[in-house]
Amino acid sequence: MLLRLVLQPLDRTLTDREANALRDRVYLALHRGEVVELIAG
Amino acid sequence: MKTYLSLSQLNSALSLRDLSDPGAGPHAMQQLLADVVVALERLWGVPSRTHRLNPLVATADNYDRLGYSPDDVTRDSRYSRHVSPTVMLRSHTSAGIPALLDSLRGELGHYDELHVLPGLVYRRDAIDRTHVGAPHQVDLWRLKARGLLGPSDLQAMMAAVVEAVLPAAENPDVQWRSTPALHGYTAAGRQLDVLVTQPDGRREWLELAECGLAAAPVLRCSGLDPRRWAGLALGMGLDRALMLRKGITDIRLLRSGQPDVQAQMLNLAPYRPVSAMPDIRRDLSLVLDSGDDADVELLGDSARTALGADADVLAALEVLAVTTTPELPPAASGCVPGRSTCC
Repeated sequence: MLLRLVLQPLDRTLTDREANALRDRVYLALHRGEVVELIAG
Repeated sequence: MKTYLSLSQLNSALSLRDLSDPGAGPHAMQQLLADVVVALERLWGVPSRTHRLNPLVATADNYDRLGYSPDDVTRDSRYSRHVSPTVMLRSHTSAGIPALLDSLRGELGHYDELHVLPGLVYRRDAIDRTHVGAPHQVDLWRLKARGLLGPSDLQAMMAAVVEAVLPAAENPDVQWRSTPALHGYTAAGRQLDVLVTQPDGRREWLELAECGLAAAPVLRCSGLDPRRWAGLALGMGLDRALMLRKGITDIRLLRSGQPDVQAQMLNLAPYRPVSAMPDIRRDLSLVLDSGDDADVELLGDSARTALGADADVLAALEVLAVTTTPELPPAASGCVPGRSTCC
């Protein structure tokens, strides 16, 4: 399935690096497949 | 299926600030609630009593004693936060009603009071700009012995609540309607909707409250004779009510720590937008165990749990597409045979 995360702190700007790290945490929690694609590095 | 909260999940749920409770500091939500309570006290000329109860409740009080059937889908751990086989975090403030009714058994004379039960309730919910996992609710029950309460009293109650939340003087174009609704704990149940103008100019019907006459079996279950006792029951989401009143479009603002926003959450004046930070979007291609798991409430709850204290950065979680395994080309990457929902 394709899921979209909309990340927006209310009080500061998010860097791409922070957004990627948050994306990976959600991905690892939800993904059940054997191939894992992480982007934060 | 029942799964239970871990101690750390329970601790974090219980340590969340209840914005409707002045004991934890002032918040506009308390003023809105006070306006509603005063309006009803004046309408009926009855006193009110506020009950601030711990959100840990007997599962039987949250469901069985309010007329929910043992196999009702909302009892599933997908929607309810169970702590043990008999204890849960209340999913609605009505969970406080059975014990309240029990306490009235000894009242033998005339009785007419408004009971106010505000607080946090715990759900598993989708992530978008109007939903959080622990919203605020209030149950408003007028209980009366030796006197009748009927649909016309309920109608007057709804009108008074709408006027208190969205005063016509400030919101001249607000309309409201009620439609029939079924709840185990009411008779002649209604859903109360308001037609409001959103900050972007759209006109939209939104649910403000659910209400009805206190159901005879619920009274009887607490030893109150329905021939002698009558009640009006109304439950309202306080986050939405406050957002409508102030013209707030993102529920997270109610708990914002930003001083410019926080200062505006101390009164009922219209919200003046504080420059919003740009949002960042990330699209995820996921494999799930089954199609049933592609549920925004379930996914939202898992994402919130995974992010812990950072969960408030997530403004929305949207399902863009669901494809089941048989529909996928054999070479689809990350796809696992035997799993029905993929990529």
